[in-house]
Amino acid sequence: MGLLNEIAPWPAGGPTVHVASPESLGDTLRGAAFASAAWSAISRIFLMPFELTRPYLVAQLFLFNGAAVSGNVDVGIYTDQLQRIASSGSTVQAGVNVLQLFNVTEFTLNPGQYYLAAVANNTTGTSTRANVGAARQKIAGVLQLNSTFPLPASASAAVQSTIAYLPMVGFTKLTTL
Amino acid sequence: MSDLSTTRTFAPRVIHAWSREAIGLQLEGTTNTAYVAVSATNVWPTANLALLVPFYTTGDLTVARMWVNNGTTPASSWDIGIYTPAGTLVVSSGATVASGSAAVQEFNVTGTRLGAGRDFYLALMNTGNTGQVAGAALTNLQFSRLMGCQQVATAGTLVTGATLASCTFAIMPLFGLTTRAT
Repeated sequence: MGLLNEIAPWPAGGPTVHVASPESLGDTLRGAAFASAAWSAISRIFLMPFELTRPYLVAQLFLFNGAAVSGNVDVGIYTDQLQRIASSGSTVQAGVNVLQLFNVTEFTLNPGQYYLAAVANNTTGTSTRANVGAARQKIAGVLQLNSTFPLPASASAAVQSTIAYLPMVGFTKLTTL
Repeated sequence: MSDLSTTRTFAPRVIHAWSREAIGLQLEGTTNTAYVAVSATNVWPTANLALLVPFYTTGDLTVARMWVNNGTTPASSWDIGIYTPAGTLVVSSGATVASGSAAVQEFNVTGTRLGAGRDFYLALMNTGNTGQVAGAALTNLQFSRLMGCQQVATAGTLVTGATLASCTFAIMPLFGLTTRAT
């Protein structure tokens, strides 16, 4: 049980939490270039770490689509032990150059460490992604899991990422974003 | 849980849209530069449309004044204030003529205490669509949505009970609050 006067340290989980926010890889992505590009491989899952210092009620997940959309995508959240907590499920990618929102049954993440996850089932559809280089990904603790769609219940087979970019994926407590 | 988990920090004397307590780090992460460029020629996009930028209080603070960095050619009137996440107006300056080319214009507001560990929005509205404000031009208006910004339609002053809407701003002005009276 928390203390009544307990104050969560910054970053405490703002209206949105995503790959470039301070709860996730904001420090690592400083100066990274975001641009539209195709998914790097069919059914390749990216897992990006983030942490929360206070409870967070998740209302929606989102993916920043790029200049072309195709096929299906799945976005979700995993525990630090790579067990799936929630996901959109396989969903048609829709909307060019916009945030595609995925309504999920609201759930609470307690303070702790987690992973954002995203996957596409084709390499025609694009996302708005940050080019960060494989080295920075390793430093940041990004993981990947190949040839898996949709997001599995367990991603424990994921390995250190060797891919040079990160899709812009996140979640929000807002019902209007 | 142990008392060791209790974290107490001070609030900074100034919090603005680009502060780390607001969206500063995200701004750096999405504008493709570690040092965001300031332009003095960002035109307010829509008359009477308020921009809301989220921030977090790391400690108790009392708002004494608010401010905006005018652009090269300020125009019309500003209204600047603070909202809760539910859209309740906490404090505002009221409509005030924009003045001072490229200057930081300050606004007296009623001294208002904001408790620690809370979420709020900084709000800025201009009654025209020609005045300029200093700030960053976003490469994509989706980034303002991504960072959790919202907007509110007004009739010339910040409304008491606001309906927050999806953000369409492609600029990120320099504006904020200070705990200093002078």
